[in-house]
Amino acid sequence: MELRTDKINLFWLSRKGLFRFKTWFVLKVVVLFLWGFVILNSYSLYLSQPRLFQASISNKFMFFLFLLLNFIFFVFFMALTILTFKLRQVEFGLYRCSGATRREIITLMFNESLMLTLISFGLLFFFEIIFIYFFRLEIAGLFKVSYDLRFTLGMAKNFLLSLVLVFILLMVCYFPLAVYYSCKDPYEIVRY
Amino acid sequence: MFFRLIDIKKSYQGGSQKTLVLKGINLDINEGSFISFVGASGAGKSTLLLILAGLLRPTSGELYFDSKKLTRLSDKEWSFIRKQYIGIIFQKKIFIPHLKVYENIITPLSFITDLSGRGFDDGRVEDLMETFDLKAHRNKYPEELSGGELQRMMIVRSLVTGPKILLADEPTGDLDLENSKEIIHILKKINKKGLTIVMVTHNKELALQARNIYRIDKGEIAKLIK
Ligand SMILES: Nc1ncnc2c1ncn2[C@@H]1O[C@H](COP(=O)(O)OP(=O)(O)OP(=O)(O)O)[C@@H](O)[C@H]1O
Ligand SMILES: [Mg+2]
Repeated sequence: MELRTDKINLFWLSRKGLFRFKTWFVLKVVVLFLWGFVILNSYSLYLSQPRLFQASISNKFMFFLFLLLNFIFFVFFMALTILTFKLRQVEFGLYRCSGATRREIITLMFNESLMLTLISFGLLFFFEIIFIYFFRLEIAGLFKVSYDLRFTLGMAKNFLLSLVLVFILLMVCYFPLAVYYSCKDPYEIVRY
Repeated sequence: MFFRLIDIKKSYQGGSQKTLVLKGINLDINEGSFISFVGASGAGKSTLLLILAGLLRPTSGELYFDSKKLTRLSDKEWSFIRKQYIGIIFQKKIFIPHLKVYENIITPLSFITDLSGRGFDDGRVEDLMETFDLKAHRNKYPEELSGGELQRMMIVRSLVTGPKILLADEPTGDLDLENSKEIIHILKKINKKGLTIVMVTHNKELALQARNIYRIDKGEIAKLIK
């Protein structure tokens, strides 16, 4: 028995899957963007001005607000994710029944998670740069330093570090869910 | 010879109770044949079909395909076999509601060829849509189709990958006899071109259209003579 070895363009397919639910997709990007903004800036603050960060966190109200915001975004994002996966379950089942391997589906979902985060981060990055540029003097004032190249480079470094953190965080919540939903036994889907 | 089933048994575990649904099925399915399974509700017809599709593992017994033993294949190897040889029509009406008819039809192709470069054989899809009279409905959503059109959509979807064997669980669903006969008529034509068909049906009259008829009764199989 010979096996067909056609190459599958999973990247293209995942892009298609991602954009298929346009409204959901936009909502997810918005939530990720806002959430990323909160985490990113707090973490960036923590890295560049740990004392200032501690001072703001020790303020009960600020701390509460920080937790609340994170919680809300987390819940929103997870709800959106689970809903879209539930909607797509039949699609995954049909793929499996027509010969997709588990691994292919996981790769597909990995690509989707990756693309979703990259798109949100692209936006976030763009926005942050504008934000930092317009408020550079205020930010420098907040940190009680003069605004110079070293300051800018420091900000950029912290920003990148935070980006990595948020990225890991996202992959940790999105990808396992994707695997869970895409790897259900197809029998469960095609059967009553 | 295509499929060979040797003493296939299947039991379901329901709570603490175990029910034996298939009690040792022996069957040869030859290439190019048109087989139908009839039998009462709950006799185990769908169970047998899902075992042939590799979506359900038998409790015991051996399953061969082209003299290759399938019983202990991994999930990945089964996927390859489904991809290359098998088309399935499920008893449950499964479709993706948020995709149009055409997109529903080509879902099985997603993992077969590169969809980006119009890489798959679009000609076959068009031909099948023509044969099953679905061309006018390609841009509708499944929910806007009639029962018969939906049924035909699911048949076309099972055939787009160009399978060697079609496993059809009630392919005519709950259509009236006229429409059902029409569908069987088309299936017969496709069978003449070489596609092996295994069909499950409630309806005796439809079953008679097949070349070989088997009755499944209480988990046992018996050949019916026309
Ligand atoms: N997952 C399951 N768990 C437990 N019992 C099951 C399961 N699936 C099927 N059964 C039982 O196995 C028996 C055979 O089911 P099957 O679906 O194969 O019947 P069928 O011949 O296709 O019936 P119908 O004509 O109504 O579709 C039934 O009695 C059913 O209750
Ligand atoms: Mg059935």
